[in-house]
Formats: sequence, C-alpha cells, structure tokens
Amino acid sequence: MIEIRGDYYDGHQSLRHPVVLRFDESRVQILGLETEISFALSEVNFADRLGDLPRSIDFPDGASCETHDNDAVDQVVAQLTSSALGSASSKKLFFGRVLHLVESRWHYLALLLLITAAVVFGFVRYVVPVAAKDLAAALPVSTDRKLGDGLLESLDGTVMQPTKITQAKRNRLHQRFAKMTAQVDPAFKFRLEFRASPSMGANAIALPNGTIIVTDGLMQLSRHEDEVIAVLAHEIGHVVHRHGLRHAIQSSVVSLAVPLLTGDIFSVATLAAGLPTALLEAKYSRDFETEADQYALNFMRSHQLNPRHFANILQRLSAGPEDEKPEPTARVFSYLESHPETQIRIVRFLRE
Amino acid sequence: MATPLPSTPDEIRLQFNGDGLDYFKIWIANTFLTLMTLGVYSAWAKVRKLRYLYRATELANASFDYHADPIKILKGRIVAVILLGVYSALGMVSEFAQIGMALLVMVFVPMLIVRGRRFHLRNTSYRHIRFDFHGTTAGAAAAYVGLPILASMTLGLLYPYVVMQRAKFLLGQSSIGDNRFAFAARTGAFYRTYFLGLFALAAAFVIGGSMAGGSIYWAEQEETDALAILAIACTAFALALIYLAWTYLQVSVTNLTLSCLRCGEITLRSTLRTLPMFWIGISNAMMVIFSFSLYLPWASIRLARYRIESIYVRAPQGLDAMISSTQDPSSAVSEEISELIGMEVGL
Ligand SMILES: [Zn+2]
Repeated sequence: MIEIRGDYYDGHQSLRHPVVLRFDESRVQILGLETEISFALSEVNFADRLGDLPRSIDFPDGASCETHDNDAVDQVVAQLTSSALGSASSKKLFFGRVLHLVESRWHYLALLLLITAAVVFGFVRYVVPVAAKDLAAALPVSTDRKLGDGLLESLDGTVMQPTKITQAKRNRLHQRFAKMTAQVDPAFKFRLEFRASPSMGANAIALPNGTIIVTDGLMQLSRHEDEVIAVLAHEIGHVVHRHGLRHAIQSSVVSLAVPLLTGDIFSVATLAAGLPTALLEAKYSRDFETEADQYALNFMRSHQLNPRHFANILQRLSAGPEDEKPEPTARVFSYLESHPETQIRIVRFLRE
Repeated sequence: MATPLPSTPDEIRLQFNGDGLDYFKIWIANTFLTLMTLGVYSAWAKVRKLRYLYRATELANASFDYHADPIKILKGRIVAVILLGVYSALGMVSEFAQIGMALLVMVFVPMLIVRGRRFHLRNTSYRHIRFDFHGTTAGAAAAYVGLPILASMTLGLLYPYVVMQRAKFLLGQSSIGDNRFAFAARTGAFYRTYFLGLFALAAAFVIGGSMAGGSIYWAEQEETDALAILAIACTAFALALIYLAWTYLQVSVTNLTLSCLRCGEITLRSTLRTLPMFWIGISNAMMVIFSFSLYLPWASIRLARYRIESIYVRAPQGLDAMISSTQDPSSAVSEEISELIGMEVGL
C-alpha cells in the first residue's frame, strides 16, 4: 500500500482540498474529503513526469489531484500490472517512463547529445549542399536572373563608379568574353561590365543574372590579358554552377532549421543560436570557390591557355592590401572571400 | 516604467519553479527525437515543453498545466506543410495562381487565429479548471486585418491603438471556468507609453548612430588600429543603446497591458523593469553564442522566471473560492485542429 499527499480539485471549484491518496493493487481511495471516494485504477489517468514539477492524477468523475510526490507516483505506476491499467494508458505510461529515464541519466543524455550534434553537422555539411544543388537544377535559370536583377543598379548607386579603362582594352576583352560565353547555355544572359571601385580594390564579381563586373583595380593589377581571362572564367564558373541560387537556398534552409530544432522562434537567444551557422556559410563559400576554380582550370586547358596566369594573378591579389577585402554578400561572389585557401588554390593551377 | 508598488497582503506573486538543468534534459530528448522522426515528434516536443513551463508556474500553491493532444497539433502541422508545398509548387507553374492561393489563405487567417487561441487556452488549466477563448472571427479580422490597414493609412498614428485592441481581443476575450476576463482599454496610457518608448528609440538611434558613424569616419580618415577598435566599440555601444531602448518599449507595453486585465475582482500587476530585462537579453545571447546553442534551455528558463515572477495577482477574496466552472470538466476537451502555420499567439 502506498500513500501520496496532494491537493484535490473537483473540477468545478478552485477550492483546494488537501488529501491523501491510498493506493492498493487495483484501487485508489481519496481520504480527507467529506465523503470518502474510491476508483478502480484502470479508470485513473497518471500524467507524465516532468523533472520534479507537480503532476496531476485525473479521476473519471472529472476531479483531479495535484501532487509533488513524483517518486511515490512512479512507484505506484511501476507496481501496477498492465491488467490493472487500461492498455492505452499503460502504453502512454511506458513511453513517459522511458523518457523520464533517459532524461534522468547523464550517460544516455550525453549519447543523445552526441548523436544529435553529429546528425545536425552531417545534415548541414553534406545533405543541405547536395539538396540545394538538386533543387537549383530543378529550377529554371530565370530564377537566378531574378536574384541578380537590380543588383548592378544598387551597386552603381553605392560602391561603383564609371570605369577609366581605355575603350580599346575593354573592346578586346568584350570580344573574348563573347566567345567564352558563346558555348555556354544561352539561358544565362552574360554581360561584362567595367567599373572603378576604390572601396572594393582589385576585384571581380559575378551576379547570379550573368553580369560580371571587373574593377579597374583588377585591370591595373593584371600584367597579361590572359590573367583577366582566367578571372572571367572563374566568375563564369560561379554563374554556370548557379552558386548565387544555391547559396540562397542553403542559407534559407539552415536559418529555417535552427528555430525548428530549438523550438522557439521569436527570441534574441534564438537569433544568437543562428550565429554559429554563419561559420558553416564560410565553408559553403569555400566549396563554391573550388568549383569555380575547377571551371576556370578546365576552360584554360581546353583553350590552350597557361593556367599559370590564374596562379599569378591570385598571388598578386593575395599579396595586396587585405583590409580592402570586400564584404561578401549573399548573392555576390568576389575574389578575396576565400583567402585562407589562396595558397592551396594557387598550387592547383601551378601543378599543370 | 511603472515603479513597483509595495506588495499588499492580498497580493500574490507568481512563482516559477523551472530548473535550467531539467529543461535542458527535456530539450535534448526533444531535439533528438524530433531529428530522428524527421520532425514528426515536434508536436510531442512542443507539448512536453509547454507542459514543463506551465507546471513550473505556481500561483498560491497551485500550478498551471497544459493538456493539448500532440496528435491534433501534428495534424495542424501536416496541413500547414501540405499548404506550403502546394504554394511552392504553384510558384513554378504560375505566379498568379500562387498569389491567388496566398490571398485565399489570408482570408482564413482570422479564423486560424481564433481557433489557435481557443485550442491553446482550452488546453490550459489552473486548479483543474480550464481556460477558454470567446473571440470571434470578425473580431480577429478587425484586430489583425482591418485596423492594421487603417494604421498604415494613417502613417502608423493608429498603431498604439491597434496594439491595445489586439491585447483586448487576445486577453479580454478569454475566461477561466465561468469567469470572463475583462480588458479595460486605456487608450491614453497606450499612446503615452508608445510616445515615450518611440522617443527613447529615436534618441538611441540618433545618439548611437552619430557616435558609431563619427568613429567609423574618423577611423577611415586615419587608419590606425586604436581608432579601428574605437569604431568597433562605438558601434557595439550604439547597438546596445538601441536594444536598451527597444527593451524599454517592450517592458512598458507589457506592464501596461497586464495592468488593464482583470477577472472579476482579480487584478494583475506586472513589474518588469528595463535594466534586468536588458541584462538578461544581452547575457543570454552571449552565452548562447559561446556555448554553440547549448545554453538555450537555461536562457529560456531565466527569461521565463524573470517575466513570470514579476507578475503579482491581487485577489481580495483569495483564489480558493473565486473560480468556478459549471462545465462538465471531462467534456472540456476541445476538438480543434489548431495552430495552422504556427498561429498561436503567446502572452
Ligand atoms: Zn570566386
């Protein structure tokens, strides 16, 4: 026989009745009310245990008892044979007890934590990029164009100024650029633009709509026209591999998944929880750089250009003033964003 | 900011018994099972989480409780996911169809708000007596569609009034047992609160913005490390200042809203203060970042404790005999499919 202290509420009044519940094998007796009541245990519902917070024991007449004595309730439930309980309620209780068991043992929790972290990491690192690639492949190229439209105009209003590169130089590059992009899917509407931009320094940017911007700084840094061509090939690689769209998909999936997992949506703390994922974004963009480099490398090989030109301009770019590093934004890909790996990138082109 | 009045003997403070470590354990199990079931368990996780927070909230030796059936929440979520899928599929076919569907769903938003709120309150109990919600779809349409349109037409001048009407709708239309809550609208007080709050916010933007802007300009002129650090420090200070003003606005609106609410002779008083809320927000965010999100459960508990324990309930005749319900308690279980698109609105 087990006795549990609790507060009885009849379900009609907020009046609190301190009572004692006396459990035997098949029945519960409620002591302390004006009249003595008893119920068969199969009709009684035991709420799940949650930490050490009070929980309720519900009776079939709509009354309920709130008790702090969680251990005693667990003991009652453990002693009950499943025949004394309804089958649905015993299944529910079993599940609740498993949960509480897991929640109260540190080594189980550590295991769960480890598996959870591994799954989240694997998901973000491997599943999301592949899924984003597949999804991008299923979307028409017009989606990329929508992402990039209007970006050039807003850049022109802020960080970009008219170019000072001579018409002759530009014309030669425009011609070579037209040839380069002639073999690519015409759905990408390629366009080459030259701009002066003191704040961005030596740089080239690919917008998802196929507009590629070369800064005067980059033109001045280059010592051979093929160096600029190599850079253009890299930027075309960003567009053809649809990095702008894939990046947008990846970041929206990650930023949606965080609140779903953590359970709250609108708090500063949840926003902060999104910050570690920013670290992953850096990894994503390095993957994109590698892909674009590979595109450039293939292009140069197939057009009998020396891959060294790419290595040379990369070398000079990385030697340049680092504080002119531009902010990489979601849809703009520029050169210097992957600095830590520049040496590795250079080596790939030198090996040829 | 309302200065806390001395507590009177018939005033009872809400107590929060939640524990960060316990909540962390529940959080880990929830996250794990949600992952392993590809999100299906999220409905159970939500109930378990709310149940923990409600049971941890104690008023006059009795706790609140939450009884929602996870299956019903799951059904709502499945419908929401299907709708979202149809919506994105339509986007590939035709933009007109997509806009049409968005408008169609918008028409149902007031109904969803009412149902979500009703589901939530009917599954909430105190001393084994259920809450309920009596708002109508028309009321929701006015508070969530009509008034905001009017507010935007008046360049936001109506905004404090809209916030008040929403609170009146969400809180004033609720009940516990047979006892209706009432929301005593105080339009003047809402306008005063918003005026002060927005003034603080504007001041923070001007002071913080000019400090940050000035220091960045200076750092750009003379490129030294010391000036760069100063610029970063000034920018951080400006952001903190803006967050402080924003917290002040939130705190004063919450305090005012709860002071308007009563249930028969029972009145409420919320004594949230700006600086503690500001500190909790900042330090929680820092800890969450540096713990790679593991601190989140403690952060939630800390915030919940402060918010809940700042509420005082004044019940001149005590709570023992105040609340009654003629409803048959066992039939109070609602049959609503709720929270489509996560539409529940919390306090
Ligand atoms: Zn690149």
